[in-house]
Amino acid sequence: MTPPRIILYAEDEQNDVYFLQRAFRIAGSPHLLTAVPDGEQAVEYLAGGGAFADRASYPLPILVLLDINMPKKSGLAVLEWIRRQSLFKSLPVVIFTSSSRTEDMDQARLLGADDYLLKPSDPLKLVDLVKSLHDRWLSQQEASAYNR
Amino acid sequence: MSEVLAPVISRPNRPDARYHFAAILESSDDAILSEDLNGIIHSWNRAAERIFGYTAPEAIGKSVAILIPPGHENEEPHILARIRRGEKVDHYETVRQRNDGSLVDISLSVFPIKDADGRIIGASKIARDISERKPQEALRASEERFRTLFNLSPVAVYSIDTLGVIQNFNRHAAELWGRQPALGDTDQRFCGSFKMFRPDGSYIPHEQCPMAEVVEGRISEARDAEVHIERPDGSRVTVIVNIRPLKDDQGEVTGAINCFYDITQRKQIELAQRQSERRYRSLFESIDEGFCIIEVLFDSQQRAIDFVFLETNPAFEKQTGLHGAQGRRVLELVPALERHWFETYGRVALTGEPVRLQDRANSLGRWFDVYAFRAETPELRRVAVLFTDVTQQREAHDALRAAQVQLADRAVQLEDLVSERTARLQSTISELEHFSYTITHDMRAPLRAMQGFAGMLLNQTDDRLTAENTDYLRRIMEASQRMDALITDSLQYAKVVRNRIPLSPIEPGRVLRGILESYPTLRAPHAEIQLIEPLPAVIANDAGLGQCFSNLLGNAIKFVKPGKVPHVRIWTETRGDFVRFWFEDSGIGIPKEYQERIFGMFQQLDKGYEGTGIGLALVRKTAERMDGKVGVESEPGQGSRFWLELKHANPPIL
Repeated sequence: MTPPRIILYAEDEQNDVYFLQRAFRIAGSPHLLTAVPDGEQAVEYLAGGGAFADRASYPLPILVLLDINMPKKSGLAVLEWIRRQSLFKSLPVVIFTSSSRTEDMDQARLLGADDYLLKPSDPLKLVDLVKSLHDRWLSQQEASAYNR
Repeated sequence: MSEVLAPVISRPNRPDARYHFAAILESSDDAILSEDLNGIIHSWNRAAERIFGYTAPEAIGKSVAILIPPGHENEEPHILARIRRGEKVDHYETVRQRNDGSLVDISLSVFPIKDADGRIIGASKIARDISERKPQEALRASEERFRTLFNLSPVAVYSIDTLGVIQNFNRHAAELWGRQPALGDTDQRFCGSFKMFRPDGSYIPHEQCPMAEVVEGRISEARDAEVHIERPDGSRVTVIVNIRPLKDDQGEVTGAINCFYDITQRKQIELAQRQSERRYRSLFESIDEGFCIIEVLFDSQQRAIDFVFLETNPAFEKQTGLHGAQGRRVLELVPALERHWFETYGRVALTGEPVRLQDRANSLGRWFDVYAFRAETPELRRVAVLFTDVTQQREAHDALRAAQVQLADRAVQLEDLVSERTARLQSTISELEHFSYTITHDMRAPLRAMQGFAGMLLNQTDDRLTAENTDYLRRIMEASQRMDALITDSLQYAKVVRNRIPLSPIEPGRVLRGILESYPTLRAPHAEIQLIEPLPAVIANDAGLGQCFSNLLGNAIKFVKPGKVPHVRIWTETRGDFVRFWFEDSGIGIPKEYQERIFGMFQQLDKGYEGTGIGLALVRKTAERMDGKVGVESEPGQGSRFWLELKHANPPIL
């Protein structure tokens, strides 16, 4: 067994966090979904600042899921920041939102999001979504950490 | 006489004949002399002594020049020149000077004298004293001259005797009378005219005419009297008559002479001039424009410095406000008058070029519209000025201009205001859009929670729930699903409203079949849907067209009586450049009064059917975005026929 890897999930809506964590559990994911409640903390986690300075407790994630509408810093702003860091140039970032606005989609693509997923209106369908996330982003992670 | 003499002289070899001739010479009354070609006298008879006062010894050997009076010096050379040519001179009347210096009129005949060989050696002259004969001839000549003058005179002339009988008249008199009276006719007396009138138009009988008055001694003469003559043809002429009595040596009146001339044309010109003058006067007096004639005053440098009003019309005072201007200098009346007025008029006076201008006289507080032109001759430096006080128009004009400027300013301000408000409105709209987007978006999170947790309860613990509990949970889930549909449609609608969508030719058959395949509810046994070819390509947007079709199809199968399998027929109709898609259903139909309303937002006719009330509004908005239209034909209970009309991708060529 490989040690659990971290999936960082920035989401202000605690119910959504709960549903996704439950879906990861049901799907039998070996990875750990770590949630932060806003964009600012997402940046801080990745930068290893403040409360997240201890990398042993807060290892770098192998995937970042970002909601768009969040307090303090939006998901797109976090994405922009991530892509500016040379360390995270190839860190997979998936936008996970209920916004179907074309502007948001275009913006996300422009800023270098790897995928754009709409939150299903029925949270029970999240299990399927988690499975497809695994298929696409998480199965190759053992071979090389940030190589896609 | 000359014919007799000439042969005699040519035959001098007959001695006895010479005595005869000598006797003839001495006894002749005519002076006979001979001279050589140099004009030296060789013979001189007794009559020559008598007529010229020189004796033969005094004259012979002298030049004939002794006989030539001053002013006749050229005659002798001429005469001798003719003689040399062998010609003669006959009865040449001239004047010669006597020994005592007095003059004598003579008639001169000259012949050449030839020698035996026929060569001309001199001249013989016969001079006849014609002093006696001269006065009578002179009288006759004078009379002839006067007759000629009488006939040629441009003035009409006639004369009468004491009885009034016409003695003579000239051509002009006959022309003015319009006829030729018979001379000496005692019935036609005093005047040859047909009828005469005084200038006042009254008739003048012939025996009272000025000629009659003069010969009958009632007046001594007539000077420049005006008489109107009527001719037999009725035409009239006006003449001026001048009459003098004719008197004999004793001073007795023997008749009268009348010189008269036509002044008809002059009268007409005078009349026309008077009329013109009158017209000008009345114009001058009655026009509303001010009019004046001024004389411009210049200084020694030819600079106009002032002007005098020579004449002003009645309107002048009203137009200028100046009283009693005539005869006065303008600077006396208006000391502060602007210089440019003198300069303008000075230029007109000097150049003769008329000027039209509109300018201000601040000193008078008025604006004038002026036309100035040179009057009379340049050296008088007079200018005629026709002008109008246009202060009111000018002020109105200025006020209008100011108003226009103000209006333009206002328009600019208004435009600024409009664009400012528009900008503000736009920002409000986008704020609102953002707000509505955010709020609908944020509504989804709690909705997901409701749905998720209700679903989890339903899945995990349904054996612990009563049938009633399970029904409640299902209702919670349905309600939250409906709300989600509402939010999705609203967001979709907002998107269509906000965004322009790209258009291209689309195959509607492909879109329709795709929809039919992806929705099980659109297939048997849930529904029977019939696609009828052809389905021509239209100008549309893929997603937009899908949106429209799926909504229309959804409606077509939705509104049926419970338990009934819906039937839908889809076909097209080409209407000009458009393709109309018909969606005919077997549903409940729509009453006429609602047929328009159903295309509005949140309009639901029957709450018994699932839906958000946005679908048709979305179809209409999407159709409009694709330059199309949507509509419905329906009868309650008869089903509905919705149509969607879009631009033909390959319109049929008519």
